[in-house]
Amino acid sequence: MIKKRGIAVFLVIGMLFLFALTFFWLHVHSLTHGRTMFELLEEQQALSVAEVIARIYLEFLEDVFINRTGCEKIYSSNPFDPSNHILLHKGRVPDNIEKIVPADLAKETEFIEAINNFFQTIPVFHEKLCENQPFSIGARFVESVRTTDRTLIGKIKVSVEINKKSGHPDQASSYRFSFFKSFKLTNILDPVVSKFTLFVRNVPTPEHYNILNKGFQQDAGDRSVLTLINDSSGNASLRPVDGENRWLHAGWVFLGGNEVFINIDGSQINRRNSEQFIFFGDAPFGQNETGTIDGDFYPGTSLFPRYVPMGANSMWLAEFLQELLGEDTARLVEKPSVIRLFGDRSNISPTLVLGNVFARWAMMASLIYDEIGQGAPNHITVAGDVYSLNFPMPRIERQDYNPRRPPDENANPILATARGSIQPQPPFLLFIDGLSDTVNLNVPENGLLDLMPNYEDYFSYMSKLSTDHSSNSRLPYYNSLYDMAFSHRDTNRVFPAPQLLSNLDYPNTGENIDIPYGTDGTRNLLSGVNLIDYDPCAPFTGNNLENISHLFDNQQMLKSSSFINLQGNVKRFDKPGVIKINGDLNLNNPSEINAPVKIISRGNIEMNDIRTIGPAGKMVLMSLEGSVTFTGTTLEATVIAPSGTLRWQQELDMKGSLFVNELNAYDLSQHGGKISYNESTNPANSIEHNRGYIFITGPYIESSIER
Amino acid sequence: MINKKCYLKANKSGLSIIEIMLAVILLGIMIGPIFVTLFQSQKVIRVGAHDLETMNLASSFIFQINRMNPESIAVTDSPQSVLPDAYGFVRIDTIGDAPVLKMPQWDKDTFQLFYTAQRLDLFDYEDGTAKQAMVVVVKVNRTAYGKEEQKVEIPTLLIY
Repeated sequence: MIKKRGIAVFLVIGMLFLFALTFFWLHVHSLTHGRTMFELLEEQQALSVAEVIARIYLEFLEDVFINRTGCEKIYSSNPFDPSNHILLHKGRVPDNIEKIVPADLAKETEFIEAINNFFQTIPVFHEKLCENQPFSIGARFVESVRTTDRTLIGKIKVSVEINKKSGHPDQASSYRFSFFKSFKLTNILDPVVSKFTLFVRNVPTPEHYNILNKGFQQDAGDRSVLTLINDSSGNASLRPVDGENRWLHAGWVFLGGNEVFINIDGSQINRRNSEQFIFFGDAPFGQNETGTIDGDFYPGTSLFPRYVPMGANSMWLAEFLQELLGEDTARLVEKPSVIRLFGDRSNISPTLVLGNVFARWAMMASLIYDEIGQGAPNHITVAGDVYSLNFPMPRIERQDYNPRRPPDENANPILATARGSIQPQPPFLLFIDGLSDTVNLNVPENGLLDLMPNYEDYFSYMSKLSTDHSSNSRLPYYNSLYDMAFSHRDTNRVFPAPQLLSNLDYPNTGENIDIPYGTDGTRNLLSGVNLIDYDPCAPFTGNNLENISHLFDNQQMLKSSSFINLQGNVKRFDKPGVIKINGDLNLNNPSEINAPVKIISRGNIEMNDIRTIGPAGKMVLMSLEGSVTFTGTTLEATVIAPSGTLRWQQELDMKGSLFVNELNAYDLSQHGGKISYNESTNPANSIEHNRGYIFITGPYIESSIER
Repeated sequence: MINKKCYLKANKSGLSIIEIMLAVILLGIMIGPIFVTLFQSQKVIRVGAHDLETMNLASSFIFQINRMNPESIAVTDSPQSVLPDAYGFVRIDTIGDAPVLKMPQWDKDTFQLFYTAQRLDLFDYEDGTAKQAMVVVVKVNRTAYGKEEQKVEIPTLLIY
């Protein structure tokens, strides 16, 4: 009986023990549940705090990318040295890039201060954090892919650890989070357009720009001119040796694939807008006879050929000059062009001209009689008249050349001293009067028949237009003026001037172009570019968003966005971006550009003054389907309108590159102005060009908790 | 047969007082933890529900703040109360017109919401101007049975 009761007591105690155990487990589980909920809330707070810290850190990283300085691991201490750019030249982010921590930032102190100020806004949570090191942070570039030649897309991973004060051993002493943000690295500068001062896809007719009525002594004609300043070197270094690479640093010019004739302004060199500086530099015309080019001595005679180049002006219609070229030929150089491709006298800027572009100007040729080698024609007096023994050699066609000795009536030409209004006395004939009893000059007895028996001989020395030269020679093409511009400082100046450009540049039609990268000219940014069908808008048309950072449905959305910082009536662009607008764009107030910005509009663009401020400021305006109208006076921007043109309403002062489908001569000559090439966009100057790169982080930040 | 009779006879004597007391004590020992566990669970459920509601309220506030222009939010000197109007809309101090916030209903006795908005200087540009951000912190003070239960701070950053 006692034995059975013991079993019952045992069973009861056992059940009690099990009950107690169960309730103890329930109690512990309940406490654990409560603590877990508490930790979830605390983790949520820690996540929010970590995200704020990560976003502040990303702002500092963006500052490094925008200013290209401030982190030795990304950029060297020289902010313009692109060789240390971890993303730019590799194509993808290398795996061995070290973690970028605050100590790597030049603005580490500001970062720590910003975080401390942030902690003051969350005193309760801050109280729970470790005093010595409340947090740690670092960034890595974890993925990247080069989607196009100009855009790299990837992700940045920012790891943040929030360290709590030591608490219960079971509680986590720190929370670790990772934040991912996508980025785009892209250059707002078009690799081709940024190499040009002016890029015109179509010029309607060969004589389109030769519409200026201007006399020899006039400063300006009946229209204004558009002058291209292709580099800022001015005329300081127009030595022949500098011509070998000046074109690398200068902005180029392309005038489409069709034949274009550009008449050089031949007004007197001291006149404003004269282009005679191309031939003579900035020296005053006539000083020490720098306006002439002497040729080789004719053996056995005292005759020297002498050339005086002269551009187009209305004086060519004067009788004595018409006789030199012939009426029809003289009319070709009556009107100078309204576009000036090599700058002006105070900013001589020869450059490479691409396309089928001819330069038209006249070479006034003569034989001078210089018996003692003084470098100037002798003077003689006959019957009281003083003659300068300078005998113009008129332009004649092959079929008209007849080198007989006058007075043969078929002789052509008859070389005589200048006639007409310059010397009213009867002309002095070289091979008749010069061999007379009264005057015996040291000249061949049979005249031209001895000196130049064939037309080819005479052609080489006669007065003619630049375009009279065969297309096989480089002389008709505009790039021959590049050679000539540098030759005037040569003490042994000759004509034709020594060739400075490649054989392929006379002419260079632009169908197979290499865009140089680097100042030595040995590397190329792009090779084999066909300028005739080049379309800088192609990466931005349709629904292609790869090369775009921000898309707006209309301009109102852009104007109300954080891209535009209103400073009074001035719109300031502080943020970098490649912005596309599905519509027109009207920037009717002045704008200041403080970051690399490219705005792409589907429609027309109208804008007021645009000025860059700060070294990072660059603006590119692109109209995909329309035209661009400029209502201000100062335009510091690259303007691209492949389907339209640029119009302006007062004298233009543009610094940048202009890419248009057409540039109408009558429109541009209403107000004229100048386009100065912005050398900070030049791909050949890779250091400056790379400052067009922008680093855009995506709008969203993804987070994950690491346990 | 005899043994069976004896057994029945012995059982008729019933339980002793000691046995009953022991049973009551044991029952008490068993039921006590049940109540303790019950109260503990109720507290856990209540705190858990409050935690969830705290996160819900803070997230709702922060989500709408994140969509605002930082320039439109006025800087606060001290924590500002977040109180809904009769239609459930919440208005915060703004510069110019700013959208009102739509918040879920909450128990005002248990949850007191505040927010602070402070301007944060990040770094200076070359021209002397500063890169700035706005830190908005929503603070939830929770009380239960007249005692402070929890203080939560959820921050967010708006870049100018």
